[in-house]
Amino acid sequence: MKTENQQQILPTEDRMLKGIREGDSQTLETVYKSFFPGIKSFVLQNSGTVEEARDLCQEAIIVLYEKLHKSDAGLQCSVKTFLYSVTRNLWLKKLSQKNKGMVVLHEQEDYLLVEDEVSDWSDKEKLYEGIAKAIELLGNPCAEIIRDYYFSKLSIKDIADKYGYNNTDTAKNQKYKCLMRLRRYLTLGKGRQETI
Amino acid sequence: MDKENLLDEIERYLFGEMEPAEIAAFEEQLKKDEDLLKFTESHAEMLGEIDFYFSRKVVREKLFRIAADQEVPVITLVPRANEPKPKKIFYTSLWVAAATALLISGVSVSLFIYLNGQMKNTAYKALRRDVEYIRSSQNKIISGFSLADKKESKHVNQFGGTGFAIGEEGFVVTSYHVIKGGDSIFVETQAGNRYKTTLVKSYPECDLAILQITDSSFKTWNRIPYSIRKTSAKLGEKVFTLGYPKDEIVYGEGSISSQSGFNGDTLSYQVSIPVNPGNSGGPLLDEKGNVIGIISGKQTESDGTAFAIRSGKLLQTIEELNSDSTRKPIRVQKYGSTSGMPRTGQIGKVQDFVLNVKVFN
Repeated sequence: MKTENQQQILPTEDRMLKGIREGDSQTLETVYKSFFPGIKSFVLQNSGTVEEARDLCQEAIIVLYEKLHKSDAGLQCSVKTFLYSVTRNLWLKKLSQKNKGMVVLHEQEDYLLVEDEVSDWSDKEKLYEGIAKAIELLGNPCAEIIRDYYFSKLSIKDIADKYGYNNTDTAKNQKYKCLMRLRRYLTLGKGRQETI
Repeated sequence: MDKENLLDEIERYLFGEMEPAEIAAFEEQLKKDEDLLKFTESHAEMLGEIDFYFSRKVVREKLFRIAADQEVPVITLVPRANEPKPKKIFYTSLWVAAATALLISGVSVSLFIYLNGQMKNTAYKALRRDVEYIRSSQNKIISGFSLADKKESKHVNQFGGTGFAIGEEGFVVTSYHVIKGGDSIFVETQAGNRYKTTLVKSYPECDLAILQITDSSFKTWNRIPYSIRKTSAKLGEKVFTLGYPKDEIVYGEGSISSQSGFNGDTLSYQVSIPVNPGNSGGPLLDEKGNVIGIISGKQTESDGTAFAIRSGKLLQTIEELNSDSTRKPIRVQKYGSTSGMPRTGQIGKVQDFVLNVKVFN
């Protein structure tokens, strides 16, 4: 009984990873709350602000979220070490941009080299900014239809009802047009040629 | 085959919706047609990216909210409103398996709030009344909990709100969140007539929905006694509302307390008026008995702080709807007919056109 209670308060690493992967609100909150203090004190010691620590902590969790989705390999270290290493790496980059020179960090903990994850992350960040732009360009109702169909997995029938289309064929056609526009915007950004 | 059908087929293949025989035939085609193969691959990749983009965005927003919550030292005197229940969606398919497993926080309330800026600590509460939910939770308290109960309440879910008549042909205005997720929507008049309606169009972004009565027993509205006001309400203007927080019509009065709604939403007014779940979608009327807003929600932390969508937005919505569709335009009453009447007289005239909206899913 007691161990069960303890698990509730501090989830095991596996459960934590599973929760992060699923984007579970409760887990995200636990993770943020438990690791933010450490990240904050690291950033503050290294000439950063609380505001910057807050951003870094969120970014580090997103890096982990992406890593967990990219491969099923899981983590080779603890969540704590991973988040700290990513924060450290991101902060180092930011500091060297600011100071344009040598940066000496006040280290707090052991860290891993997470160069790959972080550079992957900034590539991804660009990719998703591209998608965000394309979706913004689409405007409504197209953007919403795309979200409802491809992400929320509403059926064509639901889409027809929600947007007041007379029948599912109209809705389908509308969805098709929206998707083709989105495809065009996305491939424009990437400079790929498409045939359909 | 035209492109639309081809795409449809590709997606059915990717989503795992094909029969085994179809899969075999499609894969045969993929082997032969390299362009098709390439396209299918790139399409799968794109859909994977789009899907992951949205799930990642949800996680980002959650983290942002968590971080923002941590900012303020928490001194809670008033219970915080519940976040909309996350809706779990499971699915299996090729590209999805690689892409993501996801959670969506209920798009219902949050969509509206999301469009009006970030969700803050102070929560905005949409006022739809979950009748069946309330009843079933009472039942559970009374009769104890059994599995059978649970099953039943899942199937017959009823919720509702308020609506009001516009145009002679049986059109009804209500809030989007009232009818959201409903399969069949009925309206009931004060006199007890019940009519089936269909959704003409919903506007999640401004939380409005327009229904039309399709019941053969319905002929036409008698002269609707209110107009929809074009001009904005003035600060401090006296207002009243009629609605169905319970099965009997309920009157409430108050005044316009701010020109903007929740989190500075300029499409809405803040109104100091008592409202309860079920009032959503009801008309907010001025002293002359004309509609100046549609009740949409209230602030959870303070009693008597309600929000109403501006009537101007409704007029604009109706105009757009009229210009987009081939059906007979919805004609809004130009002049109200209760100006100068005492309040009780106004209520007597208006109440027949304020409807109890009942939604089943």
